[in-house]
Amino acid sequence: MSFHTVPLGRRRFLALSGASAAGLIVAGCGEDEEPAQTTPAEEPAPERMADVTLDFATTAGVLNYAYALEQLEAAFYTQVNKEFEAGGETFQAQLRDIGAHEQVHVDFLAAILGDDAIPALEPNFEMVDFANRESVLQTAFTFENLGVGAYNGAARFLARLASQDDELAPTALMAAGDIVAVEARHASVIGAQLEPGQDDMFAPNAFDPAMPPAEVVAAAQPFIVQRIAVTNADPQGG
Amino acid sequence: MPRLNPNALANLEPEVVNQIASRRDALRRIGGTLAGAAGFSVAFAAASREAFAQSGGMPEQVVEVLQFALTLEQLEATFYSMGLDEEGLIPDDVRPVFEVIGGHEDEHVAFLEEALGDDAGEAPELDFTAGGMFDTFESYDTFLLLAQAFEDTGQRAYRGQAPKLIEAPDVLEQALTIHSVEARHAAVVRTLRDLTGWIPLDQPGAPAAAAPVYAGMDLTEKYGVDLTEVSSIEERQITEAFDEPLDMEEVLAIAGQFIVS
Repeated sequence: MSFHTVPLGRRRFLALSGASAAGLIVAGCGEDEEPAQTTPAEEPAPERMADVTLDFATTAGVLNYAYALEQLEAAFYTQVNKEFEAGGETFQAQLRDIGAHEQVHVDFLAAILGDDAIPALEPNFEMVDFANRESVLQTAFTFENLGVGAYNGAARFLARLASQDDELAPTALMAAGDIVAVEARHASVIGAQLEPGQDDMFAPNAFDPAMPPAEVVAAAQPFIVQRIAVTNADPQGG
Repeated sequence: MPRLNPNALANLEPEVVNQIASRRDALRRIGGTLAGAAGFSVAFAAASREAFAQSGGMPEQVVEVLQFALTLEQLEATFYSMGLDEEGLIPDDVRPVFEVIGGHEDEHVAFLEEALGDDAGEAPELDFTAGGMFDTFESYDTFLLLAQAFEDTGQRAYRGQAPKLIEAPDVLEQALTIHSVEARHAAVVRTLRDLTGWIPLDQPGAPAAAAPVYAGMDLTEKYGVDLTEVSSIEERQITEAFDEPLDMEEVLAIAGQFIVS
């Protein structure tokens, strides 16, 4: 299947590739704007208050970051499992399992966060063609890899908090590790089905990314209606 | 710390991008290269070692973790290298998968050797039959089973060491970027055995000797949260959703069966 038949998938994909150019605070879109267009860094979007600010100097902020991404993934698979009927029995079972895992992650993080949890996020999947295998696969692969990069990149913030004797940070670090391994399994299973004949998409590199939060949020923002901001999120910051 | 520029495509028109970059390249940009080609990581390992050298040397605990990881990676790298060298063992259609995995393990070994510098230990002497228990390089099924056990163990092993790296966040991050690749390997090997990529409650077809690889993975209570209470998802999928770590002793009990010295 060529790209020409899946323009939505490609547009989304390219938006993601360049999304981190948008920077951390001004990325994204409000409810009344056209979604899905990344904002060039030199041309800031109109200032809007963020709906949610994730503070990486707190364990709750880091966990809410995970919670936001897991909400996005869970919502995606919920819709996939409702609307996407092709791909065969095995693939359908895989998609149901993956969706269930993401929901467990959401439920776990909500329980751990309690009153500190951010509100439920509203997804925007306009760019996804849920009837199209390629679009579903590519979006899934993107979300899973984003999840892997996000958790890997978040570990240093939790380590810093743990070294400052934050009580919840060591638990959060271990839980994040338990979860990222499963996200990587998802990415592998999805990647293996992307392009028959390409043998390494299950693990495209010997080292996975560890993505800075600002890059992750910029990449995820087009899929989320609420505006997400991050603060104290410089990986090299103290 | 240098990062590859993920924005290289951002300023180009989509049509132009489409012409110059295959879809696979675009996927790769998302899937892997944001943080990591091997050259970058090995260079980083050297830089990390030097940074520790300036502050009085790498903490003993960090050396211990890296050496532990190196031993496991040497075991895996040797396993795949020997398997790929054994004529007729691996079917042609799946051979490329093991070439990819083996190549990654080689890169992990190179990275860890670079990070450890003079502290890096010699490769252990290995016996993949575990004293005659397994016909490892004579049977593809056995080879696959051990590959699965090594990968599932490896990714659990890395994470069990995470608490020891809290004071060394760069090393922690690098270890995790290897760890999630081990999880990817584990998933693809499992699917080659017609299993799910994730770890369910039961391990059909696994011999008793493999039981320790999956010990403690059937938990429904995680970090004080009873997931059967807070989630409506069924128990099998709840347990699959978390990969629990293994500690060093548990890992060495598994890997030690294959290590002669």
